[in-house]
Amino acid sequence: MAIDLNPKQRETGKANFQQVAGDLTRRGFMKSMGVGASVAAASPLVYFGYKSIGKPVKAALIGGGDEGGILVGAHNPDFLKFVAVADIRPYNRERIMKGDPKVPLRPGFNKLYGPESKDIAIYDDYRKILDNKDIEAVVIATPLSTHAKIAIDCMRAGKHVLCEKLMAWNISQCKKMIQVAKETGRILSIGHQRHYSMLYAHAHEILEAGILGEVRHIRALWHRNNSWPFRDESAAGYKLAEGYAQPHFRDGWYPPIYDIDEKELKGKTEEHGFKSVEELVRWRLYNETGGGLMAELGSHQMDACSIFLGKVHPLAVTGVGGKFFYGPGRNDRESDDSIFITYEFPGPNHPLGKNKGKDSDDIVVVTYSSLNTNSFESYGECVMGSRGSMVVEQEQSIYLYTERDPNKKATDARSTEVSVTTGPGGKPAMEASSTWGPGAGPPAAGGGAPAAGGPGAAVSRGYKEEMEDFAYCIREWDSKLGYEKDPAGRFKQRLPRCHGEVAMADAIIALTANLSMKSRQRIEFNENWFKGDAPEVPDKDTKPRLNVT
Amino acid sequence: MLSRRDLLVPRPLPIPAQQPPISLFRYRQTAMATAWEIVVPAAGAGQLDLIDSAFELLHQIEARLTVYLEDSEVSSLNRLAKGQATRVSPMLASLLERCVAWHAQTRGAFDIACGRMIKSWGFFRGPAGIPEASALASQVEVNGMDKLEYLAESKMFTWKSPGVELNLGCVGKGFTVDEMAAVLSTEGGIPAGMIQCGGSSARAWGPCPGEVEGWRVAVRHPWVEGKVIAEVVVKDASIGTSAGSFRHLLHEGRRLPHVLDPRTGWPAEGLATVTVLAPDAGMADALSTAFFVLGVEESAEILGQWPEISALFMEESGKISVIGQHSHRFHVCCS
Repeated sequence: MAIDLNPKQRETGKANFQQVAGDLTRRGFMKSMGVGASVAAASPLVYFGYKSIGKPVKAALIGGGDEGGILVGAHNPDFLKFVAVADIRPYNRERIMKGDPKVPLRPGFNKLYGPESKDIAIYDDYRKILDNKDIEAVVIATPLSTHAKIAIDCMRAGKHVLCEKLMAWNISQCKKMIQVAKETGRILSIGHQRHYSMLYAHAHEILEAGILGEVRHIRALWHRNNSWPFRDESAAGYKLAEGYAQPHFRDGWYPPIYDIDEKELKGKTEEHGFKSVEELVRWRLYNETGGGLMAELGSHQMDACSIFLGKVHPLAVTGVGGKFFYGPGRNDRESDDSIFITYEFPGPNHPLGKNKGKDSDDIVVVTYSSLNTNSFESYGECVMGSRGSMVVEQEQSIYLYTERDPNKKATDARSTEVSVTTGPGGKPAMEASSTWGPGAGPPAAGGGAPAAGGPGAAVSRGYKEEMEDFAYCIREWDSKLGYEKDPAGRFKQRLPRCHGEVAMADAIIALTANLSMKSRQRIEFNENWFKGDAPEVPDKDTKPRLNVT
Repeated sequence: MLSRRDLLVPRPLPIPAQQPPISLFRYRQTAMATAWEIVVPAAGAGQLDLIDSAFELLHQIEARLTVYLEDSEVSSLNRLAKGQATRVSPMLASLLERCVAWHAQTRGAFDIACGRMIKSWGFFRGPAGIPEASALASQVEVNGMDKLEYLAESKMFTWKSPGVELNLGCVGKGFTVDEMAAVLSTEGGIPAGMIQCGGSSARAWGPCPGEVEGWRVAVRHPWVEGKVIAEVVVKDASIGTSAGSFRHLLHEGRRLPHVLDPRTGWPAEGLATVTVLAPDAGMADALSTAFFVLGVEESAEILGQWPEISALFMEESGKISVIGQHSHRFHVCCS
């Protein structure tokens, strides 16, 4: 994630170059970036302030596609028990049960629930579950253009809603969702999982502690390489539908279209808000059904950046983007394949900053880029301060490097790795062994013992915790109290961390960048956009495919 | 009196009350071919400067003590001719003085003048291998602290025999941990923290947030990856661990540890790992090496000299025992 590589990373790069140059028939890959800090996944439950609940919440999953499959894989049935699934695509209805053999993160209900999975009711339309009083909550993982309508229908049918991000296709829809949540007294939570990531919680702590010094720049990016030729391997057992352009490149946004979906849905997609089966399956590519790279990828990271800066809203945005790579016969689309955005955020002492100061020159510049043609840097955020830099990589690792102090001679500050772990919390603070113990080589071989920082388990990205907290909030919820606020403007009862107003800010940040790229103009943010009950929106001229009233 | 007990029944650690987890900041650098780590419970701008200073000191000490650099102070002592006297730096002097005492107290099991013996086994720049029988026999003759003279008052150092070499591998890391801890705690005023290097030496001071008794350290099984044999609770104290690597040397179908017995020139056999709890890390480091060489019985005989010392032993057979007045700080695990 950081172009400025440390010495170990440089060595890796050099070794890779030699490998590629020496043997052109094999390709060298960048190893994952060096030795990172592993963050112990200790008790997010305590950290995020929820508890285990008695009876699990009975929920329905609406949308069993790629993301739905991930959510199913991450959910904890002690909190949220799925009793129904709705998806208009037969392919998704089958896959959500059977799982995705190539993706362990999508195990499917059959594996997770065993024989009990037979009790899960399967529907081809979410409207068929609305009258089912047994279902207390829904988890929505459908195409962006349908979020608002489905969420609002479900809240009006008395169900609590956890809806995937981006919250909605435009900001008017977001405001409507917030309004309906208030009217119906239902919980509305949006799936920006970084709000439930211990890693980001720690990253935020590092910033709060001030050890990075004065932060002037954050560079965030999500770079993927979707330029490799497509090979039809994910379609095991499914026939490709005829009459559609099949993928030219490997590209998760341009999946193959299967016969099974085509047969059932041809001519019937309009009532669900899609012009064709192709638009339904490849919804991320179209401006009226998706929100492009900013909505799909950038929103997560801008969400993280605004958390880093103290949950402030940006002042202005300028963007350049375009469809520079794809085209006719080459996974063609409406959405951009390369975007480059610059945000001006208020620093802590700016009038709109964390400390509400008086220095209107206190600006932090946040840049974001997303590409489809290079994955050298993968994805993450790099926070650059006057005393140090922090790199958060792939929601899994934090690297921290202190700036070199020219007044100190011996130490190369960049060779100091800094990591933050959760306090012992039941785990030893270190492991003792001989420096020649397991994993260590003799000093003569240049080896060193691995840093004894305790066992490094995979870090939860937050999906599990997000769903657990959603269930906990439901069990604790007083619908009469609803969204009432105290005189200080705080909600009287506990809401999920990414409730409607928080998520709407992320949607505004993402969708206003889209407007800037479209108009090639710098756009200043209006504070009223961020208020759920104010009528102003940045995108009042946009016409959603599905109207919500 | 020694309180020796063979721990057969695993004793669980007290579990701290549920509370929000506290962040531990971990700063790491590589030195002496090992990862060094400073762990402190909170962060602040001034603290970062202290941590920088501690790491700076680490690199300075390495530059002075290493045998891998020609211009280190230890390398220059190793080049001294027999009978030639030189004054050592105050830092090295304080270490040498203690080493001389430990050598005497451990019946010669602790010995920093085994540089040539270490080289003959290929433990210096590798590859490791068993020396020829003839070479082996002469090793005891050309190594050992009985061949050096150190006068503490004048800080004068002399070799009594030619060709003897110092190698501070058995104590240098622990000594450095202590020096760094002084920068952070005594001079710097950081109220709590831990310094550790490669898992083999560590010193902890002040309370460990979120823990009842102190800083908990897991003792790894020497050859089973991921297995922990015990936990030690360290508070205002240090630990040092010596374990055989059992990976590089194969002799008559058996794997030998890499810790050499200075009295025989052959790897010390019988123990798998020793962890010593001591007031300072230099002592913990030195005594863990000595105890590894001596074995359980002989270590138990001499341990009474230091009431403040306790140690955990695991024999090659897997038998675990804890000796010393602070044995209650060791908790033998089942997993």
